[in-house]
Amino acid sequence: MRIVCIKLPKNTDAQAIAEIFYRATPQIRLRQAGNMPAPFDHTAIFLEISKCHNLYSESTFLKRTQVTLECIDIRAELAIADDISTALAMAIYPVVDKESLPVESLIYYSDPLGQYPDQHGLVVKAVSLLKSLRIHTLKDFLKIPSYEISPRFGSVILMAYQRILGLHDIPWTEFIPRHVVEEKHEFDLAYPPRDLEPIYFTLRPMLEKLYLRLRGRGQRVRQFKIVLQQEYETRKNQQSYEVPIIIQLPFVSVKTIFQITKEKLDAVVQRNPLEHAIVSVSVVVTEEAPYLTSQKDLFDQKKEETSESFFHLVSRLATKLGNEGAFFAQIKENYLPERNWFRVPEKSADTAQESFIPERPLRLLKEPMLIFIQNNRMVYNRLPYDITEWKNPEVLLSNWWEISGGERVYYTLNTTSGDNFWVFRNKDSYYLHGIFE
Amino acid sequence: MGLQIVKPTIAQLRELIGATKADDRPRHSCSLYPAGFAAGSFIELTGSQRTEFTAQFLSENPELKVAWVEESITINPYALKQKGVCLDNILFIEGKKDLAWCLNQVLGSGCFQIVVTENSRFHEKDLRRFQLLSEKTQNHFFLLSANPTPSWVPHLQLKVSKIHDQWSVHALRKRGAL
Repeated sequence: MRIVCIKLPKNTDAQAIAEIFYRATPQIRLRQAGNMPAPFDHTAIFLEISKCHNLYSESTFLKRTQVTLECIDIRAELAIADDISTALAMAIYPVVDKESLPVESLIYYSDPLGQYPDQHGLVVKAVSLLKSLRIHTLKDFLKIPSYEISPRFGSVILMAYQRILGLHDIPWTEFIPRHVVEEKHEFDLAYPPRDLEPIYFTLRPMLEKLYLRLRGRGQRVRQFKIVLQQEYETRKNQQSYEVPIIIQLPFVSVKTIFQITKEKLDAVVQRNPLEHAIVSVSVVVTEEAPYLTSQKDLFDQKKEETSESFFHLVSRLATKLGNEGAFFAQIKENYLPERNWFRVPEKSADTAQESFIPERPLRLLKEPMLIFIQNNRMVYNRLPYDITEWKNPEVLLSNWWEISGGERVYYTLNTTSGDNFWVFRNKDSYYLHGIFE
Repeated sequence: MGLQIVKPTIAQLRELIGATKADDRPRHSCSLYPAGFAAGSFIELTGSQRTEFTAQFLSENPELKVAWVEESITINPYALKQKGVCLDNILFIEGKKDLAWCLNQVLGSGCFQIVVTENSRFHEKDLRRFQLLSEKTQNHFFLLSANPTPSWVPHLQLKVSKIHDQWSVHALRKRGAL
């Protein structure tokens, strides 16, 4: 077994960081600071990577982990060993081999995940006893016969002893990523920001972290909201200021997501200024979509750039206009003209077969418009049209519960002006539904 | 013998003094307008069959990326498909009250070779901006209008109609090398 230990700064959310590495291995265990006394209180992530040696080497993995953590502004200590306890001890004490570890590392062997703070006192007492016996390293400690450990130092130290020898494994429980993906940053209450500039500095690594967390579970962000928590309630009783962002298409880089977010935040705050200082900023993912990997085209850089600018444009339009503001059309064979296409956010393969449906007008009104036809004369947009021909009659049946439900008898009307209209008769009334423009 | 007054056109006069510039912009062919449309041109289409004319041009140039921008979508993609237009390359945008902003973004992005929109009483300044952007990013900008705008901005104004499957394409005004 090969375990990588990532020792994080104390106040880091280990679960969130672990989600980033979920892509590399599903075998993850955490140690969260807060339970143990100060010098031994550490936050760490343990990744079991022995099954993934065909995907990456140990040195590659360590380098990539270091780079990933730098992207999100986290400085961590990395170590690799055969078990969780040794990996943690080696991340804390910079030594080359296990036997050179100081005897204090028994604390990590007895409780590597920081789950049992009650037994910490016993271990500290045993360590001081060992030191008084001039036993300073694990090499010296292992010279003590195993049958003497329990009566002299207790069962907890015996368990640590067995863990050093690799006889007592820690079970791997299932790692479950959080259901709601959220990142939050609280500002220093002594100097809370009053404009957006300091928020952008914190927002960029937050978005990067969010992107990597979702990437870890094979997802990408489709919609998220920025929540700015104000110091006091505003006149409208809204303490939090929410800005929704839509990322319509995949393969958008964090840089693009940040640009879209910045544009939207600037526009919203300009329209509706902040009333109080900001105490915290959160990014909450409201909709995810599968992350589809694609091979980067190294030989056609221009194509890559064009795709990126296209995704940027579509996401910017969707953020401004709403979810259905920018879309592709998906065709569906249906006799009812209002049902034979629908909006899709991403291009998908056209499943429609050869059309057997009669010619449809290029312009279709959103709702059929009631019109009056008398003596072959109709009025549309306050203009009279003289009908010369009624042709292509077609009977369609629509849902009875709709306004123009039931039987519709469609006609193409040719007029003297050259304009051709598509109207239908329904319950003795005429409705204009389309224009052959 | 009466005096015959010769009235040469501006283009002919330019040719006489060698002031004509060779237009090296790429052109896209159109069976209904044999001269084709040069990239970076602002084309205003009027007449009863303006949308069908556009659909015909799109079906003849399926490789071009298209943005179809309207205030409220009334174009019927199913009918476009029936006319032989490839929908894979068309991004539809419902601009609502931000139509001009959408057109600025779409034209400025350079992601599309054709941008189609309906005339919704644009200001002269907006039209000029669209023209400059389409020239800069070398895309065809089609403005579909019920009646020709009095604006000088469009490079080409065409009136298209179809009577008994016979197309009639009449150039109302040409400007520049078009």
